[in-house]
Amino acid sequence: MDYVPLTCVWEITMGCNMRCNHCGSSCAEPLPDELTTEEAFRVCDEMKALGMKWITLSGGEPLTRKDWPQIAGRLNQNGIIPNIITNGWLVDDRMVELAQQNGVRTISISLDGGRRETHDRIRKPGAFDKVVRAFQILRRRGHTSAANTTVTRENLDELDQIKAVLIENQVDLWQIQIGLPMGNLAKRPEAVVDPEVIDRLIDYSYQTQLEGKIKVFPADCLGYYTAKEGVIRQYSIGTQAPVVWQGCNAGKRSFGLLHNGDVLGCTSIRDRSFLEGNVRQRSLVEIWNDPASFKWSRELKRTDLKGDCAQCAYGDVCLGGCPNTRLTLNGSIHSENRHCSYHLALSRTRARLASYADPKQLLETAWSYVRSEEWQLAALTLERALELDPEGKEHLELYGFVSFTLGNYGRAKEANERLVQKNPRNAYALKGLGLTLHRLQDSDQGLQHLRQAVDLTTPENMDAYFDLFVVYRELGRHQEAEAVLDRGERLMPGFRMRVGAPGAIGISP
Amino acid sequence: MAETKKIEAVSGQPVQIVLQSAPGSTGYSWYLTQLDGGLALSGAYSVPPATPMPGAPSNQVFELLATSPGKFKVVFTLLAPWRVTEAADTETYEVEITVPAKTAAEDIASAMKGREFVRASSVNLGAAPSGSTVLKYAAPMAISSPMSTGPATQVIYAAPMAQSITGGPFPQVIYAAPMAQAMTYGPFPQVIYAAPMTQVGQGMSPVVVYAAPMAQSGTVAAQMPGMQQALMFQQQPNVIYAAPMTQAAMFQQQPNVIYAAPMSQANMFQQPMVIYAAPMAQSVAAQYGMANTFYPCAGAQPLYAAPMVSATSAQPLYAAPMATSISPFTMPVVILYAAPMSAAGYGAAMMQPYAAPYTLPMNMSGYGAAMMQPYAAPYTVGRCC
Repeated sequence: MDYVPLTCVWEITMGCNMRCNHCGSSCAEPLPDELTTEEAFRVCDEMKALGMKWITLSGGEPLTRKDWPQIAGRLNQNGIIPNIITNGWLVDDRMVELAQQNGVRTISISLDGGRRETHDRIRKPGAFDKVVRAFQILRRRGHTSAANTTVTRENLDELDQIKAVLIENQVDLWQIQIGLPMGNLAKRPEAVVDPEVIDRLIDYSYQTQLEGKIKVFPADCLGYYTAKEGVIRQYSIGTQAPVVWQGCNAGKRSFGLLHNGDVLGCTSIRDRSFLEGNVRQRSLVEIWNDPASFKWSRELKRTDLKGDCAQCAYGDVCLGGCPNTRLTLNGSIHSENRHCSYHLALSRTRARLASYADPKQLLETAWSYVRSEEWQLAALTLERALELDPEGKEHLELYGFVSFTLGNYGRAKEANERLVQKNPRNAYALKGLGLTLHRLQDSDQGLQHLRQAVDLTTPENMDAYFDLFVVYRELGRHQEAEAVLDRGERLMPGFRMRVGAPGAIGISP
Repeated sequence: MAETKKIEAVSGQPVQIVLQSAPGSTGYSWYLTQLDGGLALSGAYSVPPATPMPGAPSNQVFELLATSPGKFKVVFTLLAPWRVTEAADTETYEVEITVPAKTAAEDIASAMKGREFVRASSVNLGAAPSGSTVLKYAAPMAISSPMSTGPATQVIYAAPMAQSITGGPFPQVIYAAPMAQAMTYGPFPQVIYAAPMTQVGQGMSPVVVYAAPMAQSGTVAAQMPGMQQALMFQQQPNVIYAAPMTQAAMFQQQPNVIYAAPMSQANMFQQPMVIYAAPMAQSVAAQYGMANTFYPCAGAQPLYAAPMVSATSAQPLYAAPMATSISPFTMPVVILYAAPMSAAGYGAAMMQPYAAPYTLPMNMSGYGAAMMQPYAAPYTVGRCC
């Protein structure tokens, strides 16, 4: 698959005039290996060659780098929109004027406290007043303004006050994100909010969005798949339909560029093992288009993940939400994401299921979920039933089917294997096992089981014939597929017409 | 004094009590004289006599809302305005309101659905191997199969259909079958809901046609001008419900009944939560100066209850749309459509899943035989024991 980068966060310097206690990059002084202006220009040109749309200039404090207007201007000349994230300390009329001259679209200022004491304690004495003044300048000059808030236990209860400051100063957009234990915050992991706070932040963002006074943009670490979240993003992005998480963009549609030209999938994932190259050694285009680049993201599959993320109904698309959340909180990008609204819901559901002790009732309940295609609920319910009755045939049969439907082929395989072990002539389990193995790329074994299922099939239920036919077709073994049709026709006249006719399900003429 | 009657009701649901009186001949009518907490009066009206005969009895309808669980008393007294201290009769009801018990499925799902999630099937579109055909690994007890449904091999949900036809010049009400076809293959699941359609009064009365609500499930183009950030996300399959639209044909300068289009904000996430904003009906009778001299409130005709659908989880709850349209014949024809109402899933047989459409055409005089044709019972929630 070809990936096209649309955007990038570019930390143009590590120099910063603040020492924020949650800074993920632990920025302080500018480093000697930072890209020169000429090197930065070359990167800007390579970004154009890649077809990028907009860039966020960050740091460090990007405004401490004296050539930021030139870098922004070069991007602008290349048809790329530059945005800036700043702590606001150096924002003044001249700075905004320069930004406007160089095509900077949005200037986003960090605000981490609704009260002066809080913000200044987190960042620097006097910082709060500077931020407010910066917003006032942006408003006066008619420039698009935004705010970033990194939520920790220190400021969680000040969201209302932060919002009030932003609304009073007519800030256009508010990005809310959680602080993760990286950089300076890694020394104070106790400040990181609990997983339950994710729901709270989503609810808060939704309510704020409905109030209509400021657009809220939840960062990628907030989710996933709540209806409210979709609406929040719909409003903030301005689309016609709700917007849902489609997996992390790192290395797929975006990347991170560090002060020294190091290229990463995301500036938040700074470990050297995730380094894809350096623009001093290879061009950005070459790094991006290298099939070996960003493999940790581009090749990530749900089955690589652990825990609930591996079994999640959204897993194939979500892929565990923000990988940096998993990496910084659990030490591995392959761990499950507990700071996820859906993960919380699964945990709640399991707790509720624990109070049910009748496997028969649970089976009936699972069936009701199957009928309404609520596969995840069906799976959880059957897992509880199987805890109580591990060998229940009906539970296993349904669990195999539900797991297959959820794409949890490993579990589907296991359930059907147990059934076949108990009864080698269970046609339904053989069929399920065959299809599951086929999906697991073990088609030879799968076909073997499907053929056994066909041998045991009666005219009352010709599904096994259908499935065997389809699998042969998928494998390009058309003659064998035709033979299945012939055999099915002999067993049940009319089978060929119904299955093989042009227009039949999924089958081309 | 009649003995106390018992009614069972469910919290949050309406209770309707109908009492008969003959105010035209006797001057007596029913008054609500006691209403315990736990119940709220939500409406009261009279259904005119079925015949034009002077003094014919009419029905008085009292609509209550069960608000909280418990046993509550409701007392009605038959009074004449000039003799309020002497009740001719009393009707006493004891309404037992219960909270609907949750099924296991509801209970477990409530833990999951403490918040609403996007339907997973709509998110995982395209997750299946490309070029793959659909494997028929049906649930152990297959509801439909390629074998049973022919070449189309679709899952087809049969359409509920209600048909109520009156004879002669009277309004004909046809509810065409809503039909859902879920096609589980192709680039993405396509869901098509066929149009419910209502045709009223072919020729002889205002023709009301509901255009088809249509659901289209498709992927909205990801790239939107000037909204580059949208590129970063794939949008949800876009579900658009076209607004049902009512056109009221003019008939000999008759006042039209115009139903404003309901606005649907339906199924944004293909979630079970569906909210239909209330269609609002407006009569243009007043515009035409057709003040109805027969009914005292004709100038401010008519009352249209707002249907509201708020279906969550497996328990759709359709509040009752009710339409009262005034036909402009020389003599008014009142058509009452009682509410189809679905309150399925609350167990107990006390709720009818769908109450039948209820038509009550009334020809007051000079227009053929007097006739009252109640086709079916209006919705009832409480069950009188």
